[in-house]
Amino acid sequence: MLKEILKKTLIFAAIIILVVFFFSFLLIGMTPEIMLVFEIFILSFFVNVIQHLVKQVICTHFLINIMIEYFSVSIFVFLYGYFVEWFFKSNWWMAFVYVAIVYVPAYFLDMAVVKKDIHYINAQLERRRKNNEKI
Amino acid sequence: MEIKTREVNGKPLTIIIEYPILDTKTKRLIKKIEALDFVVSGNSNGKVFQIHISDIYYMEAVERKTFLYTKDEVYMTEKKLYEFEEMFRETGIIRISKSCLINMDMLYSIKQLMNSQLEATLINGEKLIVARTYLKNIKNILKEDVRC
Repeated sequence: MLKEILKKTLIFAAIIILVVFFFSFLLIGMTPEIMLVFEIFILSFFVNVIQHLVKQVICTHFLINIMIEYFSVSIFVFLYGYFVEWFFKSNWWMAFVYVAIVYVPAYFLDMAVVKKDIHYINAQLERRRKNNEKI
Repeated sequence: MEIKTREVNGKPLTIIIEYPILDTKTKRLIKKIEALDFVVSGNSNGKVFQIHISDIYYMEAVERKTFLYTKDEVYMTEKKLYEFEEMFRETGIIRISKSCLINMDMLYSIKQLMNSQLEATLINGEKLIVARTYLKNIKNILKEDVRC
């Protein structure tokens, strides 16, 4: 329930930002701030494409998966950041740090969610077994 | 729900379901009963066998071949895993990894291993790896069960 509300909140906030900055762009033209917002949205789109592609070649080992995803996204963020001048050749490692800052908490969050799901599944399986015994 | 049974000699097994409304619960019950009668062909030692879906523990694709695992036997079939997935979606046969479908009725428990992999234990003690992406399939089926 809370997860769904948070998800909708984030989507709604993103739409508001996009619409407001788009109208700002139409009214006052492109400023560095407006450019940054659009760049972040474009980056987010391509990161999602990469995550989707990585999931297509999914292997059952979660750690390997997350490492492949992490390095793919980091390399893309570095190249994109270099292209839009967020990073320079000298501080290329910043992309890996930024992505890690997002991925490390996401990893632990995922672990907690999976643990909760497993608990739920096992409880339901137990309930099914008890029901079947009654029948 | 009321269950009535009676023995009628000389007639095939007949199940009559009476319901006030054809709701999700009734539909799932019908699908479950239908699944008991579904059979698939499988080869074992050069012979063709008809296997009831309800007897299958899990299905696995290995090198473009699909294998059906029952309590004691393994059968090979020409059908692809995705075909089984589409055919038996409503009957509790669900995907747990890229190469494996499981019969939910045969699932005993799930646990997370030290290396973050997920392991399913079947009622016969056999263990299978569950991909995280498909964990929600199992959860959704059980959620539907609760709703019914």
